[in-house]
Amino acid sequence: MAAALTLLLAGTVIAQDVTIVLNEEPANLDPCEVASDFIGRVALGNIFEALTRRDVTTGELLPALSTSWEEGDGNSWTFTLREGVKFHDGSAMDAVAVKHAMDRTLDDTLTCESRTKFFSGNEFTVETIGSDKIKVTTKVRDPILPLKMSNMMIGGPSMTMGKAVRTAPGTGPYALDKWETGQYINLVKFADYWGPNDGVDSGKYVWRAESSVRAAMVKQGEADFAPSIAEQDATEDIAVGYPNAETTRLNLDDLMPPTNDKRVRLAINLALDRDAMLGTIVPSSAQKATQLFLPSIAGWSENVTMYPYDPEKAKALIAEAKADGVPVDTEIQLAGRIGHFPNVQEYHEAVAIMLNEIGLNVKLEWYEAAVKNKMQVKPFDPNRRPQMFVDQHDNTAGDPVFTIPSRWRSDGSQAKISDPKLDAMIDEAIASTGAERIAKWKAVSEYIDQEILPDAIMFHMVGFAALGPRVNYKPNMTTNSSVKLSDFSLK
Amino acid sequence: MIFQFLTRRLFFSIVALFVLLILVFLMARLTGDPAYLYLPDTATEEMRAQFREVHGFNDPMLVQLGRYIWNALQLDFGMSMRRNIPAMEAVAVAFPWTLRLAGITVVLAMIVAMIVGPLAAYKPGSFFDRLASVLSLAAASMPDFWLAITAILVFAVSLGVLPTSGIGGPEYWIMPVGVLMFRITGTTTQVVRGSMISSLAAPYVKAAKAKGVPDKRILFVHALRNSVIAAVTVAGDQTRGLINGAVIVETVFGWPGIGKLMIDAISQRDFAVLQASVLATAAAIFLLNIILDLIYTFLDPRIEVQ
Repeated sequence: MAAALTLLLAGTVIAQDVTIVLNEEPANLDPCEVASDFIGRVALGNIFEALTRRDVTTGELLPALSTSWEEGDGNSWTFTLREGVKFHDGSAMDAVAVKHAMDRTLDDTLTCESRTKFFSGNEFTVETIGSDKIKVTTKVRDPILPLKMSNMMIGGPSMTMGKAVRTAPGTGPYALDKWETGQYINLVKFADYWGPNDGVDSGKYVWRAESSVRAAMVKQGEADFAPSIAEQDATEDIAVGYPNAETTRLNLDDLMPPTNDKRVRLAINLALDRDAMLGTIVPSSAQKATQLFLPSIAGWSENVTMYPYDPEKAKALIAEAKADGVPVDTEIQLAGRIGHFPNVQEYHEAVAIMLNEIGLNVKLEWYEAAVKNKMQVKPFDPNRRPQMFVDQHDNTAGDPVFTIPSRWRSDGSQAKISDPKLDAMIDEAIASTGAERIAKWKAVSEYIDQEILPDAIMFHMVGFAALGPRVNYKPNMTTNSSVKLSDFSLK
Repeated sequence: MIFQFLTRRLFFSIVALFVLLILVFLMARLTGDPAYLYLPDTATEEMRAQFREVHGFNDPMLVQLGRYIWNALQLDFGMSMRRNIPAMEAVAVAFPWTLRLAGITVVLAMIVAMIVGPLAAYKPGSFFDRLASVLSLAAASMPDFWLAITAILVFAVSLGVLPTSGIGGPEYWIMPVGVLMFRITGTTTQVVRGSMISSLAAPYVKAAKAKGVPDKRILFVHALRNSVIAAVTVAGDQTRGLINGAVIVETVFGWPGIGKLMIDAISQRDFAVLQASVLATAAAIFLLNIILDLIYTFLDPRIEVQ
């Protein structure tokens, strides 16, 4: 009796539901914003779906709200919509509804993370063909448009054009039941879902900012899963490690001395003792990286150099550069972002120490996210000191186009290099398809590494989650951006 | 007199609120450009310019301020850029949770302080007095964050008698209120004790004793009444802090209050929510100040409102 009372008081979850505890409350559940992790974790794959879906295990592009697609003349793709699909408000998902959702996403007057991330740099026209086909025409041919469409969520026709919404009906296996602001979001299984829906009946999303509290909730049975906890809170009884698709790099200032000298950049790569950081500052299950996306992304090259730790050679390179007049003593600002990832402080301190040991003058300074983000993108402050950033990038979208151009093409928002040959190689890769596309992206990665070496790529990171004993669930590289209730089952 | 006092205070409060509104409006915009937060890092400068255009951040500051004041006068405090709801709606959901937490905390803290303080002052230097002093000093010094996490580890994880966090029935209030009470109780007890020692040394107390008034009555009726003003002052000060939002406690316990809302609004550059939060908080604090002044006149008839 006392035990039962204690359990009741401790708020144990009710059977047939799962409770998931996140870092923070989603700002909104607008289909345009699911590219943002904190929104996608609730909405992506639960409430909203896209015309296509990428299998993260195989990389294969699969049908979702469309059953097939084909490329036509004049830079167009035609998607055949799945029949009998309904939105959560009962309205039909037909060509008109899909066009409305797509036009809304592509509307410049709407702040839309998905459009900015995946659909910028081209112009789109969407047309209906009958009630079951959508034709998308682009100004510049886009051979991977079907892949990009896996990132455009289709919300119901009740969404207002040009206006952000708090919530919207989707077509996914779970519908929004209740959102108690500041407290929880409840999703329930959608009875009229078009596909198999064998997951749990409902899911409750709550949020706690403190990692140790999230872990404690799972331990106490108040929650079944916490997708992101700090390694120190990941005790054996609840912890599950998983590759979280984030790759870290040391983003160097290729425009300003001394890091505009390739010898200095090479020295930096040789000065970083990645092996020493593994298992100490970075989880031991993380992997050293050569490129800013995972090997599972088609276009990853096995010929890109894995730089060994060689501080003596690094020192020699610095000395050589100094002898040639490169001002290696110039203070370099290592701008860290507060709370960026677990052990971020130790990570930056280790980097600063290792680089100073080879003769550079690195000063670590801390900034909050908005300030650091501004420093990292164009226009760069012309009066700045040479800068370095440790940044993280996750490419779960399946193609190097979502990583490389913005960082290393001359007009990229973060690019600090300008190499016409590289630009041409990138453009060719973007325009190609199939095996040719993969080969061209590999060549781009190799060129960046061998001819330019703009940055120091460091680790493919892992995350830690807390999993309770009631549920079966295997986190994967998309867990940071999508926690699908249909992947949960009760033991 | 009271009516005139209230009218005057309300007038000056409104003026102060107006000035505060302008200050917060301007200072919020000094924190940086929201375009760097609301758009991914792959966004181009053209996209950021578009964002600023859509949200009116391209307009001259005076134009933005004028527009905001005009809307505020019509009780339109803008939309949360992040939440896509009216800013005041976000505040209206969060603020009552903070007010309730603050109210319960301060009332309980005052009750404890009004019992322990006089008992400690009754025999200065006694074992009870020393114990009370040490405990209240320790309580006043404990950092909220450490206390909150420790409480969760002990009562929720180890003993399993309380939930870790969140809101719900009475059991969910115990740890957040308890943690917040520590420092307030400690501080208020120290103040009550000190004030009581002074009161107990006053001639009227000696006279009461000479007349044979029981010690308990002297302590809890005569002397305490004269010490309450000091306690109310301290409690009022602590309450102002709590109304601003006990950010750490709200963060650790997942309490949906205004403290966390404001901190998030600052880091997210959600100007409308920040401005609405400050406005609501300031209005509550001005109201609290007026109430405290009225309480003083009740406690001590020699004090008049002017």
